[in-house]
Amino acid sequence: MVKMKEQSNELFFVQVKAPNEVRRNILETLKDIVEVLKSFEKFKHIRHQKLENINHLRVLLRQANKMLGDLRIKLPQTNLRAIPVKDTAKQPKKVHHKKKKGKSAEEKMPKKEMTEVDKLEAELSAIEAKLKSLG
Amino acid sequence: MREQRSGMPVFVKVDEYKDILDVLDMIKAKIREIRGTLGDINSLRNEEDAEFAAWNSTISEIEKKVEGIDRIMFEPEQAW
Repeated sequence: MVKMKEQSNELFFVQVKAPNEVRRNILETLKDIVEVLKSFEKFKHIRHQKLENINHLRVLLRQANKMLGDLRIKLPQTNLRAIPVKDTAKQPKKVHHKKKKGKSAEEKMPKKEMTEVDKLEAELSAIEAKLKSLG
Repeated sequence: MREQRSGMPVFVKVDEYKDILDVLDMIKAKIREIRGTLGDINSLRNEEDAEFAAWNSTISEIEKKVEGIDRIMFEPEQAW
């Protein structure tokens, strides 16, 4: 019984083949991980800078858009492009009819809040319509 | 009638013409600024890509070292 107890208390060891290499590998791995963490902090800073620049770009584009709008206002409000007489006689009636329909549909629909994308899409379609009218 | 009008000259008042030129200058300056900001964003994006590439190679190094440790530990010299 005592012998069995002694046996169970006996300690076994396993010799590590290249302990110095293992230690060096562990330390190097730790160093690499710390470097990755450091790099992650740098990455966060870069991303923050990038987001700031993107926001600045958005502001600049809005300013440019406003300036172009101002320029358009300053230019004479004329529509001098040639439009075939036959087509113009027929088209306006149709357009008016469609516009009325559109308006009534809009009146029936509950007003939704326009997102930035909706506003830009509306602006785009208005510009496209003007471009079409120019021919 | 309209076709005739298309060839007609358009005149702009002198003071308005000056305003137009000023606005055009401002727009050109704004576009230069936009181009500069785009360049900044591009260089930051390149820096991000470089960081990603560095992570990739460091993780590969870590993987190799852990494999080395695992190989050494899995093949002990002898047991006592």
